[in-house]
Amino acid sequence: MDNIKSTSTQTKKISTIFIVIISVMLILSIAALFQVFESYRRGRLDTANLILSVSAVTISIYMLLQLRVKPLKLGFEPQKVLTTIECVSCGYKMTREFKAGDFMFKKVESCPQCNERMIISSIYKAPQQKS
Amino acid sequence: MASNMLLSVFQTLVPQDNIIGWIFQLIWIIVFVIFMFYGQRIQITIMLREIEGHLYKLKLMRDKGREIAISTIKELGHPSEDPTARVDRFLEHVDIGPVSLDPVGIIKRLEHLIDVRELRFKDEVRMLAPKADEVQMMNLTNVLEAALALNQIYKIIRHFYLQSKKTLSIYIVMQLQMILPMVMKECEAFASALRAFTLGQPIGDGVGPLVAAKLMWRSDKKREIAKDIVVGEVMIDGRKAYVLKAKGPGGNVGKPGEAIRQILEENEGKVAMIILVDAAQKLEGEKSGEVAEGVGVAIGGVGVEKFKVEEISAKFKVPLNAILIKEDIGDVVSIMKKEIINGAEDAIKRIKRLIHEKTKEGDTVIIAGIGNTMGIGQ
Repeated sequence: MDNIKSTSTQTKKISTIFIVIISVMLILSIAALFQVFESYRRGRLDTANLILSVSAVTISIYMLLQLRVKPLKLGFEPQKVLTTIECVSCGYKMTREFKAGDFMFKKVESCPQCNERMIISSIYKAPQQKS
Repeated sequence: MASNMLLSVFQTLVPQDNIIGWIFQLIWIIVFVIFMFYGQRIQITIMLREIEGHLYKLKLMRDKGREIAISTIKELGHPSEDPTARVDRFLEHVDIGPVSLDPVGIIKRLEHLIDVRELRFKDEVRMLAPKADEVQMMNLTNVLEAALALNQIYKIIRHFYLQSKKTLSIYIVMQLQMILPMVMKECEAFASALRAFTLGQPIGDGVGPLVAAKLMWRSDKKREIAKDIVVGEVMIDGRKAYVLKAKGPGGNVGKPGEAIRQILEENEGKVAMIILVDAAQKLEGEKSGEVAEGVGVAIGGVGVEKFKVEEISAKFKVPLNAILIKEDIGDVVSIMKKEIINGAEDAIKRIKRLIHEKTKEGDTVIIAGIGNTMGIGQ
């Protein structure tokens, strides 16, 4: 199943030059906007410059936000699955990661406490931890 | 200062005594005319673009599903030749339903077609993976079925997408756009299922068999009563209970209707109650693993097994009770969640309460755990 695991590690590659271009565009548009304010303070309104600089700021922010979009998730990503083993005699429980060949009610190794037989009592998806 | 500036900008753009004002007036008129004549066309283009995005995702899912199916077959079955061509042929499999113009005997005909389909799938898997054992064979069949579902959904969505692009009919586009969120959810569930099937992990749909297995696993009297169905005899509160489930741990649903019919006939109809336990789709707002009780036959699928249980229970006048464990559509075919396992415990308590309240000591009851028993033994 190695090929399945490898799919999850796919990440979106973003060109550094692209980020630099957008960043430069953002800085220049902010500078242009600042100049519009300065000229307005001196009593002159440069409408065309205002519209252009506001548009440039909006577009560059939008493009930067788009770069942060998470890679496409298809649902094939590996999930952590846990297996709980339980002693039928003393009730001793242990949880470990799922191994190929595990199934519920499968008889497994002896209990470390009472040496009686143990069974796999549950197999379930590990709850996702919120970061 | 900002409000003064905005006012100045507005005054610059609106009056027609300067060139910028004129340009803006003209732009507004052009935009208005474009939207008046081409508004719908623009809307269709935007909607088609959105559908295209989903279709691309569906294609990736379909391709990845196929890839996983092929690699799993190679890994488990060690075929002598490359299985790719045979898998591709399998993914184009088509089922033709029985004619319903004359509905008499349709259930029998449908059952026959399902049996033939199942046999065909098993034969195909046997040829694809000759070295796989029985359990792996069952799991591989499920893997291929999930890959087949992804392929068929992709092709249907692509068909309607291309048709709507060709006709530019907003009605086709809108219908497609409306159902796509549900379709995507279902496909993501199938993608998740594929992973679970390759490893033989229990899925949400297996909660019915899980309940049955929890009740019957200590029983010494276990036998195969119908095709791929195991029944165990246990005593619950002084009542004799026939607990049945599909034979695990391979991915299998069996024929529970046939098993219930046989048990009822063996006991000449002297059964006080039938309890069917199954997973049910939860409504938004409900919690996964919640348990509900009801009356009727809780068996999904095309209806053949449901029909059999309804028919035989009506013949012997046996009350039918249903215990439903609520799940999201995505949970049904993806790896079982802890909440659902907890729901199984709750369902057992309800079964015991039902038996205690509605039957007498010495009575016989049937408890059937319905669903895919992948990863669940007995």
